[in-house]
Amino acid sequence: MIIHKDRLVESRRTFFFICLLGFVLIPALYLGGILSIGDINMLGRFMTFAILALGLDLLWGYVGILSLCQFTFFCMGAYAMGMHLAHHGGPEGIIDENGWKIPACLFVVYPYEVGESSGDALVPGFWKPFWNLPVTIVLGLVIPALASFVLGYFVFRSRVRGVYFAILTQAIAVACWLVFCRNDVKLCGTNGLTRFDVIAPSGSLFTFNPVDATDDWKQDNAESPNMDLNKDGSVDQLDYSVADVGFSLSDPGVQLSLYLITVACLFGSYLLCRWIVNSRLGKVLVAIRDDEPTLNFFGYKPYTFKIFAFCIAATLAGLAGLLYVPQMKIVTPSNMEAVRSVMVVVWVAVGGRGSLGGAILGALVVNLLYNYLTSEHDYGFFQWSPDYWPIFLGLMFVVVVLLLPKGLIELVDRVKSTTFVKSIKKEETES
Amino acid sequence: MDASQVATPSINTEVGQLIKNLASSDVDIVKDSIGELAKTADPRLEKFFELYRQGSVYNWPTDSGVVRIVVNEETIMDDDFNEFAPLLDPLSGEPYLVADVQAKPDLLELEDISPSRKLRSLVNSSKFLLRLFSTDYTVRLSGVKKCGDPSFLPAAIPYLEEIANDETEDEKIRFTAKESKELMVLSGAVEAKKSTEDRLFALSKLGDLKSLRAYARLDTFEGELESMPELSTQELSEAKASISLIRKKIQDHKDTVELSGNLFRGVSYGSVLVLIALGLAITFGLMGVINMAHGELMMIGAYTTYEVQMLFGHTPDNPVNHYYLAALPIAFLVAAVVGLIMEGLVVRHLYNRPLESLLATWGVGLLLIQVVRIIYGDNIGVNSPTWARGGFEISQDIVLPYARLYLLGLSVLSVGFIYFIIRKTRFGMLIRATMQNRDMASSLGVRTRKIDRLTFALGSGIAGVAGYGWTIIGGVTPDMGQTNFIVDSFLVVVTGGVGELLGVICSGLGIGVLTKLIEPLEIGTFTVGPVWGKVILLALIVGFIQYRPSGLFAPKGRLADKK
Repeated sequence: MIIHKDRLVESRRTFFFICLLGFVLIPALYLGGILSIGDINMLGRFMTFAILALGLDLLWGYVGILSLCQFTFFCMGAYAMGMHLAHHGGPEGIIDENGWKIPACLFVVYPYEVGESSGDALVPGFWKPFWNLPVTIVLGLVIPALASFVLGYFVFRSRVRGVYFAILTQAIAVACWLVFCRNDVKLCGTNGLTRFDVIAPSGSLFTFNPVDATDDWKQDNAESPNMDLNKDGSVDQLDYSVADVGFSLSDPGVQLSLYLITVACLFGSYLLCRWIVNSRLGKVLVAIRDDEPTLNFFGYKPYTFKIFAFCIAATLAGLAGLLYVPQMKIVTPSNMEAVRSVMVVVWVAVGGRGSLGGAILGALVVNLLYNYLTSEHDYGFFQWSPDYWPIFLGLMFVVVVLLLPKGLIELVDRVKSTTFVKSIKKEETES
Repeated sequence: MDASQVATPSINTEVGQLIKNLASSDVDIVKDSIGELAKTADPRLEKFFELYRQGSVYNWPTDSGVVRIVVNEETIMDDDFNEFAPLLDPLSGEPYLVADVQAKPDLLELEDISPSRKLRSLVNSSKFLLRLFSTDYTVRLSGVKKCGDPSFLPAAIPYLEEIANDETEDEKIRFTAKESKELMVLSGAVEAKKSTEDRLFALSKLGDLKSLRAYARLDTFEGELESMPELSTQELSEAKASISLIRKKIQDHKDTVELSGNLFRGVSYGSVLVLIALGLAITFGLMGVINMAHGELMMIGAYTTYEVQMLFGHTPDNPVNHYYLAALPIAFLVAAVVGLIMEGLVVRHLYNRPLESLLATWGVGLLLIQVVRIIYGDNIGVNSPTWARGGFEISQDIVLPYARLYLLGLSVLSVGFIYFIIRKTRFGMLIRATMQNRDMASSLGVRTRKIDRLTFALGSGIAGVAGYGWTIIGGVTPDMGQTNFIVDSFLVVVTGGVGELLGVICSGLGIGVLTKLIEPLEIGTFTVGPVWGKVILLALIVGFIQYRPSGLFAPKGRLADKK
């Protein structure tokens, strides 16, 4: 049962790691003036990537399914939040005939039909649910879950396995990327969603459309010069910058809060994955990875478990996307390029496949490296140029796969776990 | 009519006289002179008309006011900022000599005689009239064609008739000449045949010719007829009926042309897919290695072609066409060597670990892309050989570009080559033995490591050939493999069934043709286009593997579970 103990060790370690580093150390460094708010913001984004990596690790490390479209699910969450923030963002943009504001980012690339003029632009119907923040969060999780369910159902049921699945998901990632790049799907094309201003204004929490929101607000601001009330009480022009009082995304306090929320979500995701992996369900998942035909023979239906794991991974990716956008303040289709989803695999591989702590470690380490190595450095004897990053990355792929099949976490294990295991053994012998 | 015949001395003097008229301030004289000049069909005038249109032709009057037409393209400025204009002879293009030296008068002495906006289109069309007598086939064809396009050149009609009746002339040119002539009559540009009957008669002739160019004119003509007050209702309805009859006729022809065009484009795209997927069928299908750097090996083949081109000094103006044939084996060898190195350093550790091989080779791909990008920059130009321009017209309006035909041939050859090696040679037998049962082959004395190396190199070499072939139709960039092909070609292999050459060919051609048939579809106002075409195709493939999880030609029996 030594494996079980190892797992316990890893579980405890990651637990403490997240709590100590995420909740205490980094905020303390910020308050102590060592880290800037920009650093906090960046770390917050990398933590969302860690959530994404956790999902993939559950899928690839434990079930043995390699998905190359995780960033597509990420973008589903990200675009949900992006549309929400665009609804409430920026004073620019115009009001369409139904009283909805067309966000500036959409207005710029609005795909007019032949003969339409700028006055004919309408907010697309599918944008409307994202006015409300709770609905946005639910949709941001449910849409990737549903998409992965449908895909998983068709693909796993027909016993598409291994590399076939990987290639298929990559093809889907490419197709989705192409679709999101088009202006006529009304998701702002290659420009992406941007010009976000505030999060959680009062109108976004309790109302489902801007007309209701204005009603509330009208009563409070009846004499405001920003409002042009008609005789029947309807409104010609709304100044949303006044109407929506929320938390400014450029405020350091809000950014720190977003960071803390992200760490909390990462912690929650970790606990969820840990719980799944340690339960009996987790043992079935590992059995699928190790010997699917035998499991099939025992009367299990592997495809239901696979779909389940795929859905969990996609939902976590959606969650990561939801958290990423308010911190990045832009979301573009370039996040969906095939290479991005392969990057997730690299994070997991670098950190340590089949180890949840490893996935988190890998995501943070690779992204911090990326952040460091994509700027110029002068080491005296050697000039590092950002051009070398892809070469470094390529070498990292190869080195990790050939020399470190269990990832960085293995290195950590060699150093630390011996002492932990010893202490546990000691406790056991003492008791 | 031959160009050398018209360039007789007597005409020359006439040309010299006519050119002088261009300096006249009377617009009508200028206009008439241009028309007369065009009729002389002096081939040297084409250059002159172009210069005239650009405004490079000047009058440099002598002190006594005698007109001297000269050409000046660039001026020279001296230290005192006086601009001098070195002059050229308007017809010969040689330096304009005064007392045996090139004349370089002050720019201010020159009188600008460039044509007005109205005249410029006339000058331009006269240029095309001159082209009718060019000795160059393509120039002549474009001239003949241009006569029938707006703005029309009624002056060309006698020449067009002559060309159309000339038995020795090329079929295509004769056809175009007839077409252009009738198009002019149809548009009402010909004074002698302006009546509605004449125009309708021309239309019926065009219908017999199945002229695609007339198709675009039908609506305008119909609209014109409707606005003619002198037509009675009965006449109008009769005319309309005959128009719709002809429209139907041409439409049928148009549909055939478009369908066969799409089919050919599909087959051509499919042949590219097959060429790329062929290498994959070896590395992935036979060896079970997911080589994500396959697209990059292709890229290396393309860059090798570029290097060979530079070595041979091939440029569009100075073609050295045989470079392209020489590049074929070199591209194969270079890509094979890169594949060999890759196998030795990376891939050989990853047999039987397909997912890991996917990651590691992706890394190698990134590395190769970046190295090439650092060396060559983002974009290079491979100039395809000159014979690849143009196409072969198998039937009226159905043109098969030579480049695509070459690619199709290359694809067929490559498939044949691989088939021959795998099925008919000792090396191929050893490959098959090793891939089917490595241990058994090894114990029988087959050096399996060597076979692995060579097989991988073979697959990589074919990727290089694919990249080489691609240069004839597409652009070359460092990330060409990743952006264009890798996903598509893997889909081809997956759909076709792993390890089956026949499967690769069928699914490659199938996917190619299907793509090109789906793309131009129109549903209401919505045209499918490449992006949605890809999405639809993907959905079809996902649906397809519901029924055939292991592809079109699945391995059967014990082999089925192995991969």
